[in-house]
Amino acid sequence: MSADQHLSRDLDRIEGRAGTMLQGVESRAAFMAAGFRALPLLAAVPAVFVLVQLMRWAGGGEPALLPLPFVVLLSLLAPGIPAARAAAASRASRISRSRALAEADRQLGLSDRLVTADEFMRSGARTGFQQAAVEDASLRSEAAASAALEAPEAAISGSRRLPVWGALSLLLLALSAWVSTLEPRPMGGGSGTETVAAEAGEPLDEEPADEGVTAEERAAPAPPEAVPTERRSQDPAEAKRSESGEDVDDSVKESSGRTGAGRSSGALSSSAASESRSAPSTQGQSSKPAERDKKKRESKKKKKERKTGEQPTPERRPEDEQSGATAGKGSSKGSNRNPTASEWQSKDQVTEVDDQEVEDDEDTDEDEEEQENRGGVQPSLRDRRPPVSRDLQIGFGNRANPDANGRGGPSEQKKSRGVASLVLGVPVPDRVKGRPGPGPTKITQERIEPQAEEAGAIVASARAARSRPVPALSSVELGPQLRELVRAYFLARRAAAPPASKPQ
Amino acid sequence: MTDPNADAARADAQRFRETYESIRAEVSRRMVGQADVIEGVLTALLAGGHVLLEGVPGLGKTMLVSSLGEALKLSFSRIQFTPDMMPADVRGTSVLVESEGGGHELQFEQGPIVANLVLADEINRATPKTQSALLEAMQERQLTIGRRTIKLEEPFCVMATQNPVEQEGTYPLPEAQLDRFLFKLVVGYPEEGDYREILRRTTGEQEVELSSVSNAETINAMRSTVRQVPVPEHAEDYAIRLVMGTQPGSAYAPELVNRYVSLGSSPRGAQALLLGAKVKALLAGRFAVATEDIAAVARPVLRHRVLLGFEGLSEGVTTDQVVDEVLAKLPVPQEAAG
Repeated sequence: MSADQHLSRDLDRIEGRAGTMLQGVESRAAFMAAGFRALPLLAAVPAVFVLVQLMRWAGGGEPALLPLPFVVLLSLLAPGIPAARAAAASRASRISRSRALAEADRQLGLSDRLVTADEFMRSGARTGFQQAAVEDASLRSEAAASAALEAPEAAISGSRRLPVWGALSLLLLALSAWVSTLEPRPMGGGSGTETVAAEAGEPLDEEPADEGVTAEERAAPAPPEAVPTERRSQDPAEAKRSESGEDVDDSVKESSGRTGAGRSSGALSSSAASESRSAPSTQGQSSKPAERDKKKRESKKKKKERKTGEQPTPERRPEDEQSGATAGKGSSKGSNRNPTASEWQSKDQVTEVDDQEVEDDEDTDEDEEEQENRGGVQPSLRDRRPPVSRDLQIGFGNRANPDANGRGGPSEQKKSRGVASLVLGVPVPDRVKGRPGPGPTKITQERIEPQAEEAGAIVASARAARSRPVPALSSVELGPQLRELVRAYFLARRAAAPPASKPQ
Repeated sequence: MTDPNADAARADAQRFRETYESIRAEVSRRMVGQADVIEGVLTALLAGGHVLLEGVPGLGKTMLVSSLGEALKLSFSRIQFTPDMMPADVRGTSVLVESEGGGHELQFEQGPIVANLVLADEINRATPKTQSALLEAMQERQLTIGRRTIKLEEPFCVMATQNPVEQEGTYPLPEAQLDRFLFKLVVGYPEEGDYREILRRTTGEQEVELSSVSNAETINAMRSTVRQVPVPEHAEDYAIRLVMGTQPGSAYAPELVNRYVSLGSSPRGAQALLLGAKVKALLAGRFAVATEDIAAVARPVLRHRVLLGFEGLSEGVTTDQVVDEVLAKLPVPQEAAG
């Protein structure tokens, strides 16, 4: 057998031993790493088990689902399965020959002799130095083949989380054991929802009986706490009405008549057509005649109250404002009016409609009343007053001029009353854009006669030599002061930045 | 029965080690301590490279190079770099000389750079213009002056010294020139035990006379032996990754490099790593380069090829720390391959 064959055989043996050892190390490392990664499963299994137990108990069943030892076994198996899979996958991968030989070189202190000789043996023609390297390795290969190799320790991260997840798992297992001891929850007794319903004081006469209640319980007079839970599923608007009883606030009714917000769905659907026909009138005029009568009665009643000196309730105003503000929204159901129209646009449109529909004084008074309730009085052309005098004549002596009102200069008396309807209802702040200009530029030209001047002759001369030499270039290195400044700058940046690995 | 080529290789390697040892012993007769520096200078010389010696004044940098010239029986010249030097002072120039017939003619006078061993003392005191006169000689081993090209004799080795402390009036070496030095060796203070011997040798009556233990032919043969040392694939991979590890943004660069380094090593660094590692392998009695040989020369090869950024300079990070970090974080290729 030649030296090469001896060496090849020894290298095969070393590779087999080192490869097996490295594979075991890698498999162990993969198992541990995957196990540590799957540590949350250690607590997840008991957590799920406890949840199922609680759900069963809440449903009135027996909370104990599985025996506790079985749950403990499941919890331990949960992280073990991915770890075992990772270990199996690692075992399936093959350790390369060069790596196995390099590990043997490292452990035996052979300075890459084995892996180098293996590479040179696989090459074709060898140089003198390559052959010398192969022969050098063959001198040490026999001893290396019989030398013991130690398994290197693999660095595994994540072991610090083991106590945390273990403690959490134990806690959940203890909780599971405690839940298992709970008595099954009785299903027929009063529940929390029933208690709530009973406290509301609802009449029980017309309510259907609970399906879960027995015949005896149904026959017996129902205790206050035995209100069926279906009672809670009724219409909220209906419930509100029933809570407040028959004494429903008129404003609520009126609001529902104007905007449709307080109506039931049936009422809304029935009134949709009429709203679409009388599209612009969305504040009261679109209501049904019955509602109009009701409003009339109400306005009369309010008028009487005002006469007696009572002020409108403060709660009334926002409600009215709201109904006015939602006029555009309400009209959008059946009209072509822009739903995004502003509140004041809606009011103006309403005002026009009011003017058109005025028929008698009573209606006008009612409209005024309603407009006052909405926040202001709309101008009316019918309440004509004599125009104010514009005479600014001062008084005579100590007597003041009774006609002077300070409105303007001496002019003929104003005949018209102006267009009061164009007066802004919304206070608009004065705005000053820019600043007043400086005025027209005035250019004055003066005529000056040119005058001749004597020009001195300038004698050309050579440029003088530089008096001092050009200074030397400064060093590109930082000076000590600037270096300290730069260092302080980067230290400040470092303090603000997240920590990074420091140099050794 | 062994291969004759292998026997010849073993003989060459044995001769290499013996000659190396004799040179080192001769130089050590005058130089006290500084074993690492002597070894580094000899390694660079035998690998065919140039050396930059950096150290404070008074540590024997110049004496080391001059001692090496004496021990090697090589043509030795010294250039004391000053700020007013011109490139012609280094390379040589044509001077007007009187001919035999009474006429005049231009005759080329070669500069001090034409020698086997050149000591470029205080190289950073010359202007970059003068420093760049060395570029062609260091890389191409030739000088081009006008239309004249002079091939420099082998072995040709430039050993430059510089003082890291006195920065006033000095000109830092440009990167192109730094890259041409195979090694940058840092000369430190001698140890306590060496001081007594230094004082005894330098303050007594007797002066140490060095004898020539080698010559140019021997040095060239040793260089040839170094070139024959094979480099296995995994060692090549390691050298390549080591160089790439100094380049910010590369796949092998650690965070320290990405953060503080602005310029990494060039491919010339990988060449220098392998050449130095070959010498190390021969000195270790091996016939092929191992990864540990590459790691052993990583510091002197890479420390001057790594350029720190502004932040790295202000943080006080040194290039040696950068190289150490790359060595620590870079896995050996076989282990990384799996």
